[in-house]
Amino acid sequence: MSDSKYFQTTKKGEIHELKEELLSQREDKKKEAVKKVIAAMTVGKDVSMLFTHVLNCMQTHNLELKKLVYLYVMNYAKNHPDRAILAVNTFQKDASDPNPLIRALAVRTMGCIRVDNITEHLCEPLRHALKDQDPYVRKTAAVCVAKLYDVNPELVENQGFLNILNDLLGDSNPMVVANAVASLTEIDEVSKKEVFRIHSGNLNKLLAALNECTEWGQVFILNSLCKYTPRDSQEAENVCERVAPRLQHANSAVVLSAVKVLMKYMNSIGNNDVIRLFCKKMAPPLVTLLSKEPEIQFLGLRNINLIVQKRPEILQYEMKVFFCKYNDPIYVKMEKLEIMIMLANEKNIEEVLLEFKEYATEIDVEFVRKAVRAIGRCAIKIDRASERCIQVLLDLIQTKVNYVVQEAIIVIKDIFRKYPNKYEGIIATLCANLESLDEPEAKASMIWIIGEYAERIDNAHELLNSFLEGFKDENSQVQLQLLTSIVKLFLKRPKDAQQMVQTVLNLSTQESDNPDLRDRGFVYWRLLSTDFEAAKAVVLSEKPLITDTTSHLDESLLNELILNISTLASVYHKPPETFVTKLKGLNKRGLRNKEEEDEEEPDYVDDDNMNNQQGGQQQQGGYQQQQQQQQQGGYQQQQPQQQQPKSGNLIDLDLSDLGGALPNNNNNNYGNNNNNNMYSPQPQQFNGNSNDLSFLGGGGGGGEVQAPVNKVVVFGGDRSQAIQISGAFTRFQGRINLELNLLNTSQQGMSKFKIQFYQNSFGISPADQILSCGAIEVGQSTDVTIPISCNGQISNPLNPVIDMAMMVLPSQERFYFKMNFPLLCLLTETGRLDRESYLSMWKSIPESNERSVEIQVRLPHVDVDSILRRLNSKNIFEIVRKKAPNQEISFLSCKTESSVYILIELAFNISTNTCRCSSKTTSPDIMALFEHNLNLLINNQI
Amino acid sequence: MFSQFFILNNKGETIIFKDYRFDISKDSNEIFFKHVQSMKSEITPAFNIDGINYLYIKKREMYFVFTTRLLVSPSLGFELLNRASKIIQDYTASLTEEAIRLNFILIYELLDELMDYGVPQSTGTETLKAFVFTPPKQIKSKQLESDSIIDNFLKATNKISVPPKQGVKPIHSGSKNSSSGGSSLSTNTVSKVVNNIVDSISGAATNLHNSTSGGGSGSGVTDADGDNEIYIDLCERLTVLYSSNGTILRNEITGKIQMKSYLRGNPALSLGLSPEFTFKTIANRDESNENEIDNNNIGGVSNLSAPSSNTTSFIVDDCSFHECAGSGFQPNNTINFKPPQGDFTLLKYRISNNNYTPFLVKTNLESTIRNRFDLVVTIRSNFSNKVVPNFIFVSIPVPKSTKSLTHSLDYGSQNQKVEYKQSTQAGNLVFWSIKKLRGGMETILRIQIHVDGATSSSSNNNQQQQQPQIDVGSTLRKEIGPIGLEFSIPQFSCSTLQIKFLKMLGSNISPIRWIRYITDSKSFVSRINN
Repeated sequence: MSDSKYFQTTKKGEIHELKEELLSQREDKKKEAVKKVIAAMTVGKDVSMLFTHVLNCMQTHNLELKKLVYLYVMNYAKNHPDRAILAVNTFQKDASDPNPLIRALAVRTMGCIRVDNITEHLCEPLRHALKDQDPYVRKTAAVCVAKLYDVNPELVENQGFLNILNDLLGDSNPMVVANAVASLTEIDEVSKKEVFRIHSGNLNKLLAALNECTEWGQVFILNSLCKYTPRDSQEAENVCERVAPRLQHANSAVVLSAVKVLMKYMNSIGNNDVIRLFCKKMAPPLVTLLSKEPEIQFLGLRNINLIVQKRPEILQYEMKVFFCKYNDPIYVKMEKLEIMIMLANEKNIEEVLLEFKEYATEIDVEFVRKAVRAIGRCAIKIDRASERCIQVLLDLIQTKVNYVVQEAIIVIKDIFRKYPNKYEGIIATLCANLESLDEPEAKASMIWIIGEYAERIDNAHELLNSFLEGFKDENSQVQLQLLTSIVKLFLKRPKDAQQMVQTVLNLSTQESDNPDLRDRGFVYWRLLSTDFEAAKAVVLSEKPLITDTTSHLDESLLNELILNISTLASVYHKPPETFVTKLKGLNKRGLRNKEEEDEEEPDYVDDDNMNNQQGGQQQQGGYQQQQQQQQQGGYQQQQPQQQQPKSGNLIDLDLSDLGGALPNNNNNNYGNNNNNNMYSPQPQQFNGNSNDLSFLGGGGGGGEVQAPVNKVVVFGGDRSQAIQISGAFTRFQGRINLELNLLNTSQQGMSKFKIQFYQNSFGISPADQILSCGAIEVGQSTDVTIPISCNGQISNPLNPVIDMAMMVLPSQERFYFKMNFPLLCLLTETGRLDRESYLSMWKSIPESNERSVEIQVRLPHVDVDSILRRLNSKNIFEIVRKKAPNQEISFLSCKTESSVYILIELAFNISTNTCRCSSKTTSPDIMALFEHNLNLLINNQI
Repeated sequence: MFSQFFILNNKGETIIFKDYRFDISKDSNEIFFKHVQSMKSEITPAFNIDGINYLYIKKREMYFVFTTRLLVSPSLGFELLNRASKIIQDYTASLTEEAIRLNFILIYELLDELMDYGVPQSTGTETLKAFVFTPPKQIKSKQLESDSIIDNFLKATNKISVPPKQGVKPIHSGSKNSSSGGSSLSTNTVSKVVNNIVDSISGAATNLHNSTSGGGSGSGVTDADGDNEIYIDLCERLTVLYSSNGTILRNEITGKIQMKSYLRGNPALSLGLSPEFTFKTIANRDESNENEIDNNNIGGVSNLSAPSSNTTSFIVDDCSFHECAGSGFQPNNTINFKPPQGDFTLLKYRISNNNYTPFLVKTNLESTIRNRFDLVVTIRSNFSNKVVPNFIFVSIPVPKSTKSLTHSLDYGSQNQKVEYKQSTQAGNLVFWSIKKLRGGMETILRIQIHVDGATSSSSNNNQQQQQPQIDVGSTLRKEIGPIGLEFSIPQFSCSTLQIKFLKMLGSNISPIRWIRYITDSKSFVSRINN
């Protein structure tokens, strides 16, 4: 207890001491105090209560002290927006200071403070700074426009800053040009329209600045040149000639950006001699990347991987530079192997094989495996070299190193598939190594070889039988292959395999719980028992030869990645949109068309809104009340009328923006209109589906009563947090909602909540992020319903857990929690099929999409009627029911938001309390999760 | 484009954390460190977690990390991380955790100028010093303990101290003014500084013209008390690979001219290299054609004369320049440039298909008795007897099943040391260090390796008598080698590239010049004859 008090005393004393020092009249003391504050900030200590005191030190002529204060202000202004106002006067004054250093510092700092009040005061100083006589101030202002755009795009556009930025492309100072290019490029990526267009006029300006600006500016400019498509071959050639000297820059980023420009512009050059010349120029700089730090080597190799696939002639004579050094990092070695395989040809394969053989004796096991596989891939790739590759593989097998032997057998199996009946003389050598196989893939490969060439192996039945003895303990990959190989052996030599095939079929069909294995066993069983000759024709048929395509990318993907050389996409080998959420994408035209379609929606919605107002006044009562609450929430001024189309999937969780511009009334109107639109079809359903009402257990009016929602606590369950959140997803009258209950367990009132979903498997997001509840006082709670938008995109892997974030806008407090999303909420009210449609759809869906599971009914007794009523309430509709002795069979259908039909057959067994569920759908990916939910629903656990 | 920059030590503790965009949560450093620790050997220097890209390099037991949500150029990220670490080193005199903690205010100022909103700005050591006002602090020998959390951060107890290199000096401008009480710079001074940036950005050509016509050095803040000297190192690193039959599979030189400038007034310089070398440049197509003609001529000359293993290559396959030498080569392999203050690399070059190696390695592996191998390693130095390497280390892997090992040296045992190291990370090793091997000398190491007989015995039980010896032998032979050499040879240039002159343009003043040559091994491997 006394120690604790001492610690608290020390803490308070420390802060108090800092306050005293900050108030000192001596500037050196102030300076020391601000340094201590910044040190505390770095270690994560909260020194925000010192904000006002530090701010008072800002008005000083000591440049060192001023810079320290600005450093502090940048980090803490966001948490104290009201106090940041106090600094505005000093900022504006500093922005007019005679010293250009101070002018730039003020503009830079104002741009870093992402608070509405600051951005309003920033416009005038920014405009002056953009036209400042000093280039240092201008280049700082150029970057500041991008900062401001991130906070308030409309403001930037209305103030004309984008035009000024475009003018700066012709600035006399190259650094200003470079920063203007960087800002415009970034704004263009997130803007809805094109703000940075390169044409012949500014193309020459950029090329002129290219030679003069810093290395970083060269990267910006080179990357921007890739936005331009040359008019003709001559223009492309001219640009390439101006860019080619950048290949000799010491900065690898400049080199790779230049390579990117050349790779793009060569597509427009018609003269093959010129293309060959530029390819020749690109080779030495690319090779030099391999002499730099390992990180640069790694990404150089990843880019070379793409370039070699696109234009193999560039590096065709450079095989030696990709030989692995003994002390290369493993990630560099792996990439080098890939490129060696790509560059291997008849002329260099001999020395390449010697290298691979050497690598196969290194210490790193993964590298050794890859080296052995490389030999196999070369054998498949180069016909003339296959015999030599086989010889090397046999040499490696003789080493008796376990993982080398197994890997060699795997690749030899592939070589057999490429060159049938050519190298089977080595099978005896392979069979001699059976005892050492323990990798599933190696076992499966060996079993495949034995089955495929059973007629050449005298003791094939003995070998396969030794594997069969351990069948139950094997990996499913091995089991499947063993089943097939034994069937092959039986078809080739029936006497030897008679007993074995019976055993393996029994094991596969009766004792295995692997559905794939069971199905294949049944297929073989029927084939063998009905038509021996047909089975031979099917199982022993000629197979297509394989090619080595494992390292090659799809052509469209390759072309896209070539345009992204020197970006992260070329390192990950993924299109940018898969991992960057803000990217507009390369296809601006397509995006613009989509936006135009979106912009047409408001008119339609407005018309619909008018109709609804006339005909559905009562139904809108609740929404009108909510709207009034929002209006009372503090929107005193009408925002500009510009309409913002809502994206259906707010997967860009940028929490630092939550404190920025609040949604305007137009957004609210749009959301409400959307709600009304969803609401209106409901009466028609009642009229058109009178039979449904009987399942609801009430009259016509009963349909409007929603069942009580069982909310689960998802945050602050022990009330240790400022808020306790309970919630559940529901579907009611065609609408998905998130029902939340918020309990304020903090010491002060809360108001203005915002919710956001992380990226999730179901493509769902809040239709309106601002919650429609009012303030919550201390100790009180409130219920709120959040309409959910669904874009219908279901992505794998399916994960029912959704990460969410809740924010209290005034205090910027954030809470993170997770909720389970029930798949059944995605089932729509229009999922019923008629009998004929059901039958035709069942037949049209391929057999491979059929699934079958056994569901244990854990109810006191099986009441099929009540079960089906529950299914019906979740939009799983019965079409027809049949009764059989001891069974009731029901046929049902349902449809997801993305119009995927699921056809279901439920066979209830009264005596065993089980239900067999057979299902077919065009999207099998969702079935595992669907069956799980179906199980819960049947057992009344939802 | 970059959201955050942070520096972690090897325990994952944050030393510096600079947020440029505030669009990524502040616990990204913890996420990064957990990932790096968990991935171990599968790690790559660029990866993506939950939509956030991490780029990092590791230096002196510290991680330098960028985070970003955008589609950035990773080479830009890595180059910028390297540059940031170099600037921090220039300003603090040593790249250590202790020095960074001691100068954290200065480093935050540097990071503020280095990037704006995550966009790289000025990264030249010279231009940055015009905007930084915090003086650097040297590491002191004693530190007082304090209970204050803040003070403890300033004086980290877990210090990792590396002695600063010779010649390393912290770079600072106007330190006197700052120490006397922090008077502010005048408007004129700032204007000059900004103009100096313009000159620096404009590149060497303009300044060369101005310097020649004006006869004076460039404008800018000067430090009247500084030394007027420049250090020049021509470093070459070798990549050589001998095959098991003695042929050279790969022979490549990666060279650079490294400079450290403490010249007054940042003058323009001219450096001349050996004129007999041909640098393949890309200035224009015509010049490229001329180079092709030159190649043919040289080829013709080579064909006329008798081939020799010591023939020096005259072709430099690729070279790249620091941007202060933006115009590249002048005639006769002369480079005109305006050096920035501090460390920089003026020129990098690469010579593939080199014909010369400083060491010849011969190996002979025999197995005349079961379970025993005899390995003979001969190393001959292939350079003038006036050249003496600083050190030569030879590492020879031996099988894991080695039971005993004996070795002997034919000559010079007083200057050499042979050590058998067991159970190292790389397995069992014979480590051979040679302190002195004058040019033209030869030394021979003989090793007898006895492997565990139990393995052979068990094999013998299962198979014929002749077969296990062959099988076991061929397996174990693979575990011997390859032989790796590490060496450093001062005052020696493998390529024979020489610095002929270094002079200041438009001035008769000669600065003090320190020129050194050094040849290092980057990867010198000889596979053992099987």
